[in-house]
Formats: sequence, structure tokens, C-alpha cells
Amino acid sequence: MREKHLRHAVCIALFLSLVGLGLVVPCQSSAQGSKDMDTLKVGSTLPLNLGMGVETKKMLEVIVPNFNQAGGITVKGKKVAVDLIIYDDKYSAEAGRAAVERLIYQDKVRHIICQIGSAPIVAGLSIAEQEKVLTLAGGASAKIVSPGNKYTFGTSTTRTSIPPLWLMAKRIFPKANTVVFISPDDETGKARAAEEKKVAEANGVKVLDVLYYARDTVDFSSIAARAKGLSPDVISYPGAVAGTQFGLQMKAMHAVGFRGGQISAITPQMEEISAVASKEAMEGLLCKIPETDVPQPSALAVSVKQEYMKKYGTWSEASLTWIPAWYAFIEAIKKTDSADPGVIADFMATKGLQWDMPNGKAMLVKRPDLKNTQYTDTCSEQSYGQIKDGKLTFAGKVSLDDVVGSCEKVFGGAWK
Amino acid sequence: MTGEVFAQLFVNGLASGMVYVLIASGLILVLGVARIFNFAHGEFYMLGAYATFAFYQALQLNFFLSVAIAVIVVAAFAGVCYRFAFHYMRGNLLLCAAASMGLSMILERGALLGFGTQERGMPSPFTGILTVYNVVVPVEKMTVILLCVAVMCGLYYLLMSTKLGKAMRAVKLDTEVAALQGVNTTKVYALAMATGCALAGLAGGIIAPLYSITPGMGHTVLLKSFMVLIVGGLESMVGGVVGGLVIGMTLSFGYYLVGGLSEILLFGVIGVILVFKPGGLFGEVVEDV
Repeated sequence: MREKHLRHAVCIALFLSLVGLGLVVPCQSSAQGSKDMDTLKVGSTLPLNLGMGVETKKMLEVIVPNFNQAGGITVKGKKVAVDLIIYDDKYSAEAGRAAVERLIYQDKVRHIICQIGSAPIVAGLSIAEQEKVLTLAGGASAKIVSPGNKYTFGTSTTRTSIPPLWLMAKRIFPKANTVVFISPDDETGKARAAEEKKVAEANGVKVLDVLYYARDTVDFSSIAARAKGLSPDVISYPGAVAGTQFGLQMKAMHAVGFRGGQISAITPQMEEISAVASKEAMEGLLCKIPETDVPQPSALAVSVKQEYMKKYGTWSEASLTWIPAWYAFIEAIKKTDSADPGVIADFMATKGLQWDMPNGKAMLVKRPDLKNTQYTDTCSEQSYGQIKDGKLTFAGKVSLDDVVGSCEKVFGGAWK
Repeated sequence: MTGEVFAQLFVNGLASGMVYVLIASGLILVLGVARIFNFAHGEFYMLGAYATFAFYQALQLNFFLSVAIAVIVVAAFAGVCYRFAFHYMRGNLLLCAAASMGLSMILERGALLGFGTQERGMPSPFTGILTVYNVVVPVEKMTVILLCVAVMCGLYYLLMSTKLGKAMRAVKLDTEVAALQGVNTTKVYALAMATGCALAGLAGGIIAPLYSITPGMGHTVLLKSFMVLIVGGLESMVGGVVGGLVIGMTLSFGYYLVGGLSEILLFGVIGVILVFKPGGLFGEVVEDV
């Protein structure tokens, strides 16, 4: 009887363990191309454990099929549809590298676009460069635009959006003389904090301290107490994720009694932030505002919003920061009339690129401050808003030329 | 560090420490009475948070009612898990631990599939800030502390003054003798598992409005709970209380004093405690004969 019980027990233990292991299935999504056209496989890795990753995937699942249905792109006289393969990189280096390896070696992609986190991007960079895979990536790390990269380009404006932000911040908070940064303790956070420190000091604002937190932190009480103890005029959040965690940071700052200015280079996901932070906690935050919410949005911004709402019924602007790579990719193929990664990379690096995207006009720029004299990074028009009474309202716009000018002023060199 | 900052950090440490106390108490109950090293304990905490979120946000129920129903749901689920899995492995610590690991993976993946990968947030039902002698303290933190204290008092009453509590203590001391005295040990094991996991679920429900809710939120909390057990002593309830407060205060003050090295400081504090008290503050050292 005892033996029978033991056998039962072992079977149940094994069963539970196997079922548990068996449920570990990687996330994968594929946007299928039209059957009547040639297909170009393109890869992407996104942090599907975060709202911005989920939203970017949702947006790509709208714009790519619509693009294919509208006829795709013509390369050397042939119509080509894009087959987009997306893997979860969990915003971590380990998962990012594994996802990139899978895309390149298993799925045989030659182009990777729209990645978000610096940690997974940098982890997969060496493989992509080695295998000559064109990578148009987001992320804030300067390693993405370093001179050694031949096939990698930074297509989000995370590295170049800080100078215009502080241009606007000095207008909104003219009496701000001191700032404390609260940043994630990873590649993105450190890169963003380092750049923003340089920009803040160039604008006459003293950085009192940079406080780092682990990416999975939910309790910001101690960090907030330490930040408040330094008595800054403003708090900035370089590298913060736009959703719930950002809301928790503002909530914690408000809870310890901080009532100064708040600045963020990202567009907050208002629905997620409002779920955790009160109106008072968010009040006055200066941040990016999506092009879709400015008084006169562009036609592209309007059509993207309509397509998204047609499929999902609601709207989220969280992905707009991360999808410039798609538009840059299509424009680059049009300009070169080629899908060859080497041809596209050569063209982009030597001749640059200008393109339209939902968040406005964008262009590739050089980074002489990072010793990269090729076109490698991206600047775009910037629109800003402030949160007033729980709503994000338009505060002002900085033109593409002014953005480039402000970057040249802070970082030095000729960027065009 | 000013007095106001000290008071704020103390309240923060007390609030997070009391949550660790709740979770660790549940773990101690499950380990001490049911003899299960429950690696899925963090997932019951996560389930409690999601259940509270579902009842409060989706069904628009009162917060306390949502937490109460969530606790009942988690307790019932834990009872079912015990009856159909752990019951057959009773007495075999290793087998139970292995099964609990499998259960942990199932619950986490189930939550991912059911609730998605996105972080969820819920508005706090206790908004507002208390200002006492220039010390700014959020109302929700004070509420967490008071709720946890009330629950721990209830747990003390359960264990010391009720028939079930006496039965649990008897089974913990000596299962065979307790059985000979007429205690239904099977029922006690199941109730211990249900109560212990309910405490974790309750902690999840209480903490849900303060932070975000994710399928992976149980992992960090489980690690901290094990630290509480190590600091306080493996099967000591008093140790669990003291251990939880030590962990909470160390993390709260630690970040303020040493920044990102606070986790290292925590391990340092644990190391120092173990040097002087190898079995934990209120635990016993088992020596080889």
C-alpha cells in the first residue's frame, strides 16, 4: 500500500514538473505576406513583458499587413511583401541574444528592425554584424551607433531627443538650477543618464545625483526619499519605461512630498500611469507628446491611428517611438532599389536618409562626438506636452533643424 | 539624514517588512505543519494580487470584499492542490519540493496565458497623504501596516486559542502522537496548506494597489521570503516576524545609505546574523550525531 502511494506520488511529481516545463513556450508572431508576391523575411525582437513591447507588436501587426495589402514594395521591378517575424527578448541581454540568433540562424533573416531595449540590442549586435544583417534598432546605448558597426543604425530618437527636451524644459521651468536623475540600472538607463547629464549641464542645470534602480523594481519609496533629500528643483527620469513603473516612480516622489518639476523624454502611457498614480502625482510632468495628439497632426499620423483603432478599437501611442525603423527600412529599400543589406547599409552610411514617420520628419545624422563620421543616428521633429489635471496637453514643438542644431551645440561637430 | 527622512524610511521599511512577515508566516505554516517546502508560494502571492485586481477592477467590488474573496479563492485552490498532488507525497520533503516547483511553473505560465505579459496597475483605494510633524506618510502605507498587524493578530489567535490551531501545533510537534490523540492529520495538513497560501494571497491582495502586478512578481518575493526564514529561523513564527522586519528595514534604509549596494548590504546583514546564530535568530541548529 505504501509502495503504491509512493508510486502515485512520484508520478504526480513528475507530471507536474513536465507540464510546468512543457508550458515554457517562446512567444512568436508572424505577419504573413501576400501569397501573390515575393516575400522578404524581416525579423524583430521586442520586450513582450512590457507594455511598449506589446504595443509595438500590435502596431506592426497593423502596418505591415496593410502595407502588404497595398502592394508591398517594388524591388528591381518585382513586388515584394514583408514577412515580419517577432520574438520576445524580455528586455534582457540573454533573451535578446537568443532571439537574434534564432532569427538569423533558424529563420535566415537578413534584416532586423524595431528592437527597443539597449540590453537585448547590444547583446545581439556582434552576431548581426558578423553575419552582415542590417539592423535598424531603437535603444539608447551609444554602442548601437559606434564607429565599428557597418550594418547597424540607430533609428529611434532616444539618443538625440534630450537636447531639444532641455531646450523646452528651460522654457517651462526657467528657475530650475538643480536636477536629480532616476534611472534604470542597465545599459539603457546608464546611457540615457550619461547623455542627459551632459545636456543638462550644458544648459546650466547642475546634476546633484543619479539614482539607479533595478529594472524589476516596484517599490520606489527609498529612492524617492533619497531624491527628495537632495532637494532638487526638478526630477528627470532618463531611460524610464513609459508605463506602470513610471507611474510608480511619480507616485513615490509625490508620496515623499516632492512638489518640484518633473521631466521625461518619453511619451507616458497615460492609461497605465493613471492606473497607479494620482493626478496630483503626475501634475506638470513635461514629456514628449505623440504627433497624433498635437493640434494639427500629419496625414501619416492620422492614418496610422485610424488603422490601429480599426483593428483594436482603442488607441495607444506607446509604439510610435519604436516604429521609425519600419519607415526608415521601407524608404531605404525604395532609395536603393535593393533588399541587399550591404547595399542598403552602404547607402545609408554614406548618403544618409530622410523619411516621414507618424511622429514627424526624421533624418539620419552623423555622430562626430562619438567619433562616427558616417550617417548612423536619427534626429526627428519633437513635440512636447505637459500633464495638466490628468491629461496630456500640447506645450510646444521643436523643428528638425532646431533639433539638429541643439544636438550640435551640446555634443559638438557637424551632424548633417 | 533628517528626522523626517528617517521617519519616512522607517514607515516604508515597516510596510514592506510586514508584507514579508505575512508571506513568510504562510511559508512557515506550510513547512512546519504540512512539511512542504513550497516553491510555488510566490505564485499564490501573485494569484492573490491578480484575483484582487479582477474583483476590484473588473467587477468593481469594494476593495476589502475583493481581497476577502481573493483570499478564499486562493485558499480553496491551495487546498485542491494539496489534495490532488501533495497528499500523495506526504512526508517526503524532496518530492514535495519538486512538485511545488512544477506547480510554480504551471501557475506562472497559466497567469501569462490568462492575464498576458503586461504589467497591471490598480488605483489605490487609500489615497491621500498624512503629515505629522513635517513627516509625510502615504495613507496606503499606514493601511498596509495596520492590515498586516491585524492579520498577524488573527493568526496568533488561530494558532493559540482555537482547536484547529492547537491541532496544527500538535501535528507540527509530533504527527504520530497527534494522530493517536484523535487529530485528523490529513485535514490538518490540507488546512495548513490552505491557510499558509491564503496568507500569501492576502499579501498579494494588500500590495496590489501599491505596486504593479505581473505574472513574474512571485519570484522576487519568494527569494525574500526564504531570506526571512533564514534570518528568523526555519520553523519559528516569531522568527518570521522579526526576520521580515529586519529584511524590510535593511532594504529601506539600505538604499538611502548605500544606493544600489543595498542588496549586498542585505546579504551582509544576513551573513552577520548567521555567524552568531547559525540557525537563525529564533531557530535551532540541527547537529549531526
